[in-house]
Order: sequence, then C-alpha cells, then structure tokens
Amino acid sequence: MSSPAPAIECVGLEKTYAGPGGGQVAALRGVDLAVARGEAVAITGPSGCGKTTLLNVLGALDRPTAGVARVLGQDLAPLDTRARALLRRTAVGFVFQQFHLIPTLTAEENVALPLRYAGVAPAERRRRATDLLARVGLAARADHHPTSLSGGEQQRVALARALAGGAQVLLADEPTGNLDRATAGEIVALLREVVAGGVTLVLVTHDLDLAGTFDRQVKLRDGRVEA
Amino acid sequence: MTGLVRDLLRQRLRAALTVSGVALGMLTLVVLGALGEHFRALVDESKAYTRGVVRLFTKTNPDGINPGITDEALDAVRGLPGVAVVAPTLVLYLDGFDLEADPLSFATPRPLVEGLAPDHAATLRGGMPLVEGRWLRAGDERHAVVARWLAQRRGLGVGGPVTIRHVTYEVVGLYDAPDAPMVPAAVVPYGPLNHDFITPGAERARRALGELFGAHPLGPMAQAALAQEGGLEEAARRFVEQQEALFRVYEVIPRDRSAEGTRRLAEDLRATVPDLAVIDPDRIEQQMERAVALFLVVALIVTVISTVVGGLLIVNTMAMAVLERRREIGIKSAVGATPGQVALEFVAEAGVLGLTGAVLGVLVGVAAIRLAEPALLAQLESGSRLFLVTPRLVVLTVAYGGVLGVLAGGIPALRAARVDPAIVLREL
Repeated sequence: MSSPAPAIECVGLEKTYAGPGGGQVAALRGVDLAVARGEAVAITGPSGCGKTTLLNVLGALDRPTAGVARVLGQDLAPLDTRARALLRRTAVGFVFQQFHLIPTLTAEENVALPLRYAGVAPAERRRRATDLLARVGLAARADHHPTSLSGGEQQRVALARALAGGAQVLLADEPTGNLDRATAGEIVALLREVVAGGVTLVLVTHDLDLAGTFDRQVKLRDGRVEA
Repeated sequence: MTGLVRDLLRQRLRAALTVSGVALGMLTLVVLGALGEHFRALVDESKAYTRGVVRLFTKTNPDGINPGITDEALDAVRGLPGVAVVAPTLVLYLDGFDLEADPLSFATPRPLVEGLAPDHAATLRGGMPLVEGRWLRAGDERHAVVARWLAQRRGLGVGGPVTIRHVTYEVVGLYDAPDAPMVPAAVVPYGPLNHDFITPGAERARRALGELFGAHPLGPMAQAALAQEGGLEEAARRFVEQQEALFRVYEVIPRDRSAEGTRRLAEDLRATVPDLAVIDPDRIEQQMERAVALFLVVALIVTVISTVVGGLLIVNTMAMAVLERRREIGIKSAVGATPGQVALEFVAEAGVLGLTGAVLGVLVGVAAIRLAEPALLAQLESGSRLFLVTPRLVVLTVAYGGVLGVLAGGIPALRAARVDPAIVLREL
C-alpha cells in the first residue's frame, strides 16, 4: 500500500519576476520541498529570500516560472485563473501579516466571504461563520467591523476566514508579525489547534524561536532551500 | 444586495452625482418618450376619425390650374355604385384668425370647427364616441356638438351656449376626440357655418365687382350676367363660392365601410375623378406614422446622447471604485473569488447605479410632466394631453437604465477581474 501524496511538493521550483529596466529578478531558484499532510513547517530566512513568493506560489496566487509545485496532489502549473481561484476557495487558506480583512464587512461577513463565492446560501453562511468565530473565541464580536477589533482579534477573524472553505492546507505569512508577544502566543496556539485537527500548516516567520516550536524548519536563502 | 448598496454608499457624494447624471438622461428619455407615446396614441385614436371615410380635396393639375371641386366631378362621384353618401365638410379655426394679436396664429395648433351636413353627422363622425347628449340631426341650425376636452376647458355643457367664430351655438352633445391637429373640437351644421364664412367675402366681392363694372362700360355678357336673378349680389356670391370651393373638402362614405371596402372605393374614385386628391384612411395613417417615426428618430438621437453622458459617469465612477478597491479585490481573489465573480460585483454595482438613476429620472420626469402639462396645454389652446406616460415607457426606461449601467460597468469590471492578487497583496 502506497503512502498518500504529500500535502505540498515542490521540485526545482522557480519564480522569476520582471525587474526594473527590463531585467529579471529570480525570487525562487529551484526550490525542492515536501510537506506531509498534517505537518506544521516553518519557513525562515532573511528578507527578500523568497519566503512570501513561495507561499504565493503554493497558494496559487502566483504562477511558477519553472519546476513543479503540487498541492494535495494537484499540479499548479497548468491551472487556469478560475481553477486556481477554486483551489484557494476550497483547499488552501491564507493568513497574512496585515490580516487583510475588508473594512466595510463585519467579522462574520469577512469569515463568510469564501462561502459567498462558493455559492453557499446566506443562512448557512451565517451559521458556519458564527461557528468558526466561536472556535477562535470571537462569537461575541461577530457584528463588529475590523476597525473596532484589536490586532489579535483581527488575526483570529482572518484565521476563521482561512478555514471557512474547509482548507486542508493553511499558509500563514508572518501571522504574528504585527502582534505583541502575548497575542502572538494566542494565535500560535490557535494554529496548533488547527494543525491538530489534521490541517497542514506552512508558516513564514522571522521569529526563529517561534519557528523552532514547529515540526520542521526550512531555511530559505536567495531563493534556495538551505541544506 | 446589502453589501452592494453598502459598497455604493462608501462614496456617497460621487454615487449621488452619478445617479443624478443618469437621472437627467433618463428624464429626457421619459419626457421625449411620453411625447412619442402621445403621438403614437394619437395615431391609434385618430383612426376613429379617419376610418370608413374617403376625403376628396382639390389639387393643382399639370397645367398649374386648380379647378376646385366642380359639380360635374361631384355628380361623377355620386354615380359610383360603392358610394353611400357624399357630403361637404368645411373645416375652420373655431375662434377664427386674429393675426394682429397673434401673427403666427396659423402656425399654432388651435381648436378647429367642422361644418357637416347635420343629417350625416352621426354617420360621418360616429366613430368618435358620444359621451353626452346627441349628434347633430336634420333641421339643426345653430347647434353644436363639442369635444369633451374643449367643454372641460371652456366650461361648456349640453344645453348651454358655445361661441364659434363669434356666433353663439347651443351645445347639444359632447364627444370624445383625440387632440390630433386634424380632428375637430366642435361639429356644427355645414349650412350656417358656410354662410357665416362666405358672407363677409361675398360682401367684399360685391363691392369689388361693383367698382369694376361701374368704372368701365359693360359689355353685353356683363349686362346679361347682371340681368340674371340676384344681379350683382348673386354674381359676387358665385365668385366667392368658387374661390372657397378650393378649400372645401368632400367626404365620401362607402357602402362597405370595412378597410377593404374603403380602399376599393378610394381606387374607384382615383380613376373617376383624377383631378381631385383622393385621401383614404390608409394614406392618412401612413402619413401620421411617418411623422411619428420621424419624431421618434429625433427623440432617440437626443435620448442616446443624453443617456450616454450618464453612462460615461458610471464608467468613471466604477473605474475609480476599482482603483480604490484594488486591495479588496486582491483579498477577495485570495479567498477564492473567480475573476468572473469579481467582475460581476462591479457590473451589479454599475447596474444598480443605472437602475437607481432610471427610477429617479422616471419619478422626476413624471412629476415634471404633471406640473408642466397644464401650463403647456393652456399655452397651446389645444387638446387635453401632450404627454402620455405608459407602463411600457416606464418599464423600458428603467430596464434601459439597468442595461446602460451594466454596459457602462463592463469595462471597469474587466479591469477589476484582471487585478493580480499576488501583486496587489505584495504592494500592501
């Protein structure tokens, strides 16, 4: 019996951007990486080493220039824009350093956003969003707008939103970067709960102490995985 | 839907200005459309007046002479087997001309009075429904049947007096009539109207002939003419009648008043009296349809121009919204919105702008019509209606507003759909 495919698999992954003056900027230079299902991996490295680019490619926000990137067995390279959106809606969740909540929507509406695009009926959307907010300890703040929430609360809402579509892979880009230590600890605790539930976590961080608490740490330098 | 309205209300002033711009265009559409609907309704309503009657007019022959409607021609018409009635009709301005007071009075729509043979009035004009009293009948002299709109405007009623061309008549009936330019506002017996019309002209002609004959030695023919019964008086009358005959219309009622029967008789008449213009209902309706179509084309051009301005406002507003919401677009894409879904949100928003503008335009347009119509009618002294706001016009205007919004929102929406979430989220 063969073991299930890894949640994330990169082979020789490259990503090049058009730079100023018509030149090319290589953000990823042949990244090889495999993350097992349910594993929690921290990506570390200096600024500009390609951490966020790697996350964007794995989350189907960006297209790889060369190499292979597979998420839950799905090769990302041939996917068109719509298929990549569907993947983000159903299989991959994002948590960003700046939270990226929509200011005109309430916490509940922000959480329900992926469900809206999945065509879930409004009543069901509300029920599931309320459940998720309760799971991150914000049931009482469902009707609040992001501007009336603290940083930690906003990040909890963002985490609930990332899980709303039933994500099996969670990509977190410096999720504690804008939080104080205590609040950061609460968010990390929530992330661990999520991983305990079987979700695969890839977390980008500068915080080496935090990185050391995860199953594995992958260091990136100049777009390559350090040995 | 609430989210969509909330998005629109983020920039209240901008949204309000855009909606106002669209509303102005739609107001133009409603006002011109209501005018067009009025004209179109007139064409239909006028069929009650034109149907089942063929009209004979004089026309100028190839030699440049207008021979009028001669007794010989009328005898030929009466001899046709398909002809039931041939009756003269005299159409005049109900209040006469007062060129001194109003030099352009001939160019302004004014109420008309029609002189008909009273015993045929019900047959000739029975297509227009009588709402009170009776039609004219044999023996009527100073009696009138008037259009309801004129009665309302001038406070006339059955049994009361009405002044027509400075002469008092008794109102014996009221009928419903469209306010088309050719449809009379009153019908009176032909004889008295014709007499009142001719007498002043005959008097002038008598004076002129008298001066002419008095100034020169009379030849034997002139002497013979004056020796006839009536003398100079009768000669003058005949002269004026001959002139006046150029302007008189004869109406011919076919035995078969169906559309086909009327058409057939018109063809027979054209063959029988080629020196007369034979106008059948089809001809009149075609003419009216053509006039309405011409108006509608002009109205369409004006409307398109005015509504396109509103459309451009929507394009601008939505393009600004796309620029301002690039971050949100990126977030929505990141959580799984497809480009189509992103575009649809902006298209829907633009559609709501267009719809709101259209609804506002319709409301303001209808209110403006309600306010302005009485004053305009009083100014024109004609008819009971100038605008007709139909359900069709309202529905089409609102739908057009929605479509305009959707089309105008299309380009910004495409730009929104092309926003690259990776780039936008990296910029933040």
